Amino acid sequence: MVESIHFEQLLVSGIHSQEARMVIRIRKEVYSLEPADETLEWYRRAVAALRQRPLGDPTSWWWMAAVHGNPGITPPANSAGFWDRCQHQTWYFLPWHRGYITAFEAIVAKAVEDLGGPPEWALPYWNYSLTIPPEARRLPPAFRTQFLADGSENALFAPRAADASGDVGLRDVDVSLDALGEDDFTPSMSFQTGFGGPRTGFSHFGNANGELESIPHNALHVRIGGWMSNPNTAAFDPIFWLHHCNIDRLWEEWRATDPSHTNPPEANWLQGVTFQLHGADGQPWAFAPKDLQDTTQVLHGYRYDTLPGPLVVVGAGVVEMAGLDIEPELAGASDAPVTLDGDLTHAQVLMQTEGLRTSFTEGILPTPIKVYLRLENVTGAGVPADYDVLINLVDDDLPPLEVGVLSTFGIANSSDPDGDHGGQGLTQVYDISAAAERLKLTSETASLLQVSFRTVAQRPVPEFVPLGIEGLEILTPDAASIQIGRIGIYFE
Amino acid sequence: MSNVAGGARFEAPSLLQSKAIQNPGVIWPLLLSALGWLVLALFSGRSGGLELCLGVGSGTFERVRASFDLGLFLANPVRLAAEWAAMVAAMMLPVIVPHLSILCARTHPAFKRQVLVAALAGYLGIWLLLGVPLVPILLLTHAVGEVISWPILLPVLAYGAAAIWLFVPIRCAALRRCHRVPIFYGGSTAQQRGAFTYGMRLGGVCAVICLPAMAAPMLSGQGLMAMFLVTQVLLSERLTPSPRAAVFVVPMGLIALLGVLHI
Repeated sequence: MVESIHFEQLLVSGIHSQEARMVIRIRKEVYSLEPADETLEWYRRAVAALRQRPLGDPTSWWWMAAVHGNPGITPPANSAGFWDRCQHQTWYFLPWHRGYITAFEAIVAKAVEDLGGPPEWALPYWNYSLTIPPEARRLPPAFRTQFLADGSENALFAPRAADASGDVGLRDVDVSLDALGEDDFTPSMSFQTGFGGPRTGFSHFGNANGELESIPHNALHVRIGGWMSNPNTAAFDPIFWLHHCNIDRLWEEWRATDPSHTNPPEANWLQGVTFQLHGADGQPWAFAPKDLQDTTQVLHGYRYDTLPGPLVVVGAGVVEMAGLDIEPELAGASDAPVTLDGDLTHAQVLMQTEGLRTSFTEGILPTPIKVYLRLENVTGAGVPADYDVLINLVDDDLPPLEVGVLSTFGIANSSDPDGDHGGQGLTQVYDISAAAERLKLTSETASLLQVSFRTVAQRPVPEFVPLGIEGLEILTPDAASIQIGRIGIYFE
Repeated sequence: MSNVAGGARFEAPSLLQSKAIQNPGVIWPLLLSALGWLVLALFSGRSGGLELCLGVGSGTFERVRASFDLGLFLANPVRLAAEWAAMVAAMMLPVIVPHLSILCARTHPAFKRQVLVAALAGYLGIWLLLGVPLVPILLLTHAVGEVISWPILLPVLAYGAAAIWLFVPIRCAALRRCHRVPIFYGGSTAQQRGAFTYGMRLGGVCAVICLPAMAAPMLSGQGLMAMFLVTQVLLSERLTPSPRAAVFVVPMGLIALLGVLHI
């Protein structure tokens, strides 16, 4: 699991280090582990050991989980500035979670070593987007049962919406990798999509999800259910770390597959915000996104089994030509907020193509290049749920077309009026260009679009496991109550 | 989108070539702000100082004259209102450019200009109303200051209050809540009504956030330069990725020092 690489190899990434030789950990796909591999067994033992540590210990299980979100545990005095720090709906989503899981990996690896395990232990990742092996979309077996064969408690178990076979109901759309086709890490300020999320400041919870954060990240959280469906409890579930390891890997894959896929060059992203966590020794570790661009240089250093070595680092002086594309225009909108009620909710969008950019209407461009469906200011409370989003024209006979999934992971936090962004809720954007072409949505004859929301059924979550710590049980059992501020159709 | 020239990546001028510049939510407020600064500069040039900033360049003589000018103020409400409006436009409109930009981006092109005008009208309207009680307070403060001679205390107190205000919870809550940009529905009239109401609400929230800092140069008898510097501080706070109130105390202190030195 350890790979030694020579300094000369690192030179291709522009990295100059005093160390001519270094050791990095290799993160492997959980279903690719050999039957005799003990990675998960040592993970289980380490998690059990970390749970024995006191709440105020920055290397304890409780502390590290509460760094992502605190469900209501009375925080120790030394937790100020460390707990409740997860970054969502922001261009810091990926770098913050990279730092977070790597710090966690360092802490677990030290615990593994202290328990007599392999010093090269690395966190595995769960690639639920695989179709081979067929069971790849099922919860890995080590996480499924509450008790081990000897009757002792399984530290990797948590309450989840899974059956005995580990099936959490993942569908193709939930684990789609369409995000990898997104060209820009961060979009313009006024129309927020992009691979990595919108430009923001420190954003514990914000407004618009980046493509990767939306699918598969959010959908996975909601499909797994239980603690995972709530940002304030998610990191208490041991599967959280394998999930985020996979999201981190997808970031690396996005960068590796196309030279134009680059991280933001702006100084505000690279070093605008400094985050703080703790390392394996329990000492504070401060980092900014600029420190995380080469995974082999993050703390102990790591890379993924299926990806090449260190990627070219985009430095602060290497920047991007941005903003020459055309801003999208609103071409239709619902005339009132839409409340999702029952298993199926319909809403109508009145198209108003007159008055749009002359290039569209005068035929200079025969049709908009892109058509987006945008769900704006989505607010709500209760247990997050997923909804299939479908569109069709009111006056035609075609069956509705599926255009994506609305995942409401984090919606309660984003709806909090005292939150970072005043409770404006989530914004979700779908590229519906293909469906729009089939429906001839850009023609003047398309006047009324129907947008439907179909609740995705989910298995019940069993009673919570008593873990001997107050606060975790507060996860609200209330059903989701979701309101969409406005449904907008944008032409670009 | 990226571009490659001669094998090297390069950066385009970020504002002029960006999508944002196509957006009237950016360009018109900025032009109005520039006009505000121009008007302030003209007023300042014609009378040796802004009427709202009584003690500009003041020694003893100027302060006595400023007290004398108080009567002129009361007799010239039009100029007073014009100065206040120019000051609000100059200092506050750059702060709300991101809000107006998002507002315009989410509005149908047929309604963008009406919505922008309505939002600006609501925003400036609430600020102009705030000027009605604020101006007598300023005049009274100056009058008292002249009598008991506070050349150093005034800037210290004004900027001290503005610095303390940075940490007050109600201000922090307002700073978070001003992020929310609403959505408008219906036809032109309904959208304009919604935008006007939003403009007023945003103006009120901005007043909670910015008024003490904005009033500090006036209370200290400072002129254009101090106003400009305070505007930069307010803008920086909005544009900083992770703003911390303590960071902005230092520039506030430096501007106060300029006031103590009658600059």
